[in-house]
Amino acid sequence: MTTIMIIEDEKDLRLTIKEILESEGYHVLSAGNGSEAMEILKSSVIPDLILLDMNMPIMNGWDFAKAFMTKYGPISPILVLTAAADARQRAEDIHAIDYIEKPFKLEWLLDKIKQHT
Amino acid sequence: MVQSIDMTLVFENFTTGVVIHNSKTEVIFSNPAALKMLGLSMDQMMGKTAIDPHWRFIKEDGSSLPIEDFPVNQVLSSCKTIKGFVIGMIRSDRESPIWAICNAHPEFDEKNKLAQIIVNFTEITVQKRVEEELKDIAAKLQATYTLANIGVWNWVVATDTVSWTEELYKISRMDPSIPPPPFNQMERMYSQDSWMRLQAAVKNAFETSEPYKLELEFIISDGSTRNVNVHGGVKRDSTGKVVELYGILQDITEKVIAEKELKLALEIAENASIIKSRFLDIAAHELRTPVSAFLLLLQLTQRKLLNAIPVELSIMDRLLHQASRLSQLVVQLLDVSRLERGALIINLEVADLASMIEQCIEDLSLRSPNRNFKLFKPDGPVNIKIDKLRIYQVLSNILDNALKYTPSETLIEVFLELSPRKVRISVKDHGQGIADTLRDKLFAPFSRGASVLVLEAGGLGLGLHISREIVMLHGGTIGVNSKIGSGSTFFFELPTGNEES
Repeated sequence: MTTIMIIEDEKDLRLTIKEILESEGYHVLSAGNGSEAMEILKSSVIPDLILLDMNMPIMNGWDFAKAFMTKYGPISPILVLTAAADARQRAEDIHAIDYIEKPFKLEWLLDKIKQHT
Repeated sequence: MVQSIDMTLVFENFTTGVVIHNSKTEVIFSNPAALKMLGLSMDQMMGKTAIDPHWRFIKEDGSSLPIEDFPVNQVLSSCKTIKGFVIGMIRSDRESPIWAICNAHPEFDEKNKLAQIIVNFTEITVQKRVEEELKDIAAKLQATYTLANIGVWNWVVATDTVSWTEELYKISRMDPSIPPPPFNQMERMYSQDSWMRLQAAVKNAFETSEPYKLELEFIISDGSTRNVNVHGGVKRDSTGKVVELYGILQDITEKVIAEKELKLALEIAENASIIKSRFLDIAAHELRTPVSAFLLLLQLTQRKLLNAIPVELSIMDRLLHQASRLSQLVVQLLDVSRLERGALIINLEVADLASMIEQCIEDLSLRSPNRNFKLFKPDGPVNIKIDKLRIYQVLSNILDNALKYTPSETLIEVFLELSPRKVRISVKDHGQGIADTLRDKLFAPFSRGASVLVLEAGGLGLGLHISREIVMLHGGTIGVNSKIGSGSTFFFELPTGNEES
């Protein structure tokens, strides 16, 4: 079973994406910020893809990407989810495989996930 | 008489006009130069032919010379020689007056009786014109110096004298009756750096004759500093020895100030443009998140309905929450747009402030059930004229900030105080407090507190700005007292409209 991790501080968005992905048959790990995600990863499988928001309290997307890389290496591709105007730059900053700009349609998200898993 | 006749032969070839009158002032002789200068014939001189009525003598100021002041008449009445009398002649055949310097002297016979009066005229029309032009140029130069705030000075080496123009005294605010200081004593009139630069330039001018041009700080007698342009150089004699040091000093303080102001204005404008574009980024960012959630929630609902899966109430709650977030953002954007256009209008009506505050606290408590509010207010209603919706907006913004920016276990206290002329509403929190540097910016548009909190708190950073404008439209004031570590008290005061004390 493919595991997707969603790291997003906006609760409604996170829960909705989780519910949708689960209905699509994915195993979903969800975290409200980078630090929570690192905590979850200690006792879970390594995800096949990480959906990562950039602007988050406590531990933002940049810091998470760095921490993840240091601890686990480049084993999980990252798909950046961002509301910022410079989405592409942000994705390049952390060597993400791709990015998706908010707001997005469900189909775009599902297509990107299929493409990268 | 024989002598005189001999003299007339001599006078014939003079370029100086010579006219000889008898003791009755009648003209008995005029040399050709005089006739030419006066523009009269011998017959006219002798009174045999009429003279053009426009012909007249004038004084230096241009007024007509009275007959008794004619040189010949002056000599007649005083029997003394007159010298250097400036006289003008208006001739109909000339556009401008002919000017002459006139001498006249009496001659006496053996019996010491006045025999004749000899008057001579030397034409000075050209000299006088040049003199006037020079005067005109000098006046224009003076006006230019005054207009351009230019002072001129020089130092004559041989006599070791320094002279200043009036304008230089004016620029330096020094008493013009006091002689200017010698060059080497001008140190106190320049800032340290300026004096060093000037000395170096002067030294260089002495050595190389190269004129200098500097922008310096000039300290005038009242101790204030003026910005001046200083140009100067040296003059040498034929042997190459420096005989004079000269220079001009132009006060350009106003120009420098204007340039600084312009630069500042430009910075402010650039800053405003940066703030606006940053705001657009924030606004877009803030709108994207709820729109994303909204879209996904609707698509999720659609999928459930298509697959005949029941749609939970929690999905509706989330949709409503995001929709109200969106609507709040849009309302704020509209308010700011109205404020910028001056189109935010308040409608005053009598309302009970006490129950409004109670209502606002109740509404917020519903959303944040774990927070504690405490209200201190006088008994009974507090009725004043306000725009109910707008004041509710101010109140809920301040309370909402208190909720957002303080830890959930801390108490939020609300005070309503009434005095004859105004009511004061204050909200005291027990958060981390606000740094002084930040406090002044809080009410400016698009600002938020410390950046750490920004991300958690979200929002457009417009709430307090809008609140301040609303309170000001009511004729009230808004502010904050805060200290790092001991919480903040946001307050606003509204006039009761009660004029009698």
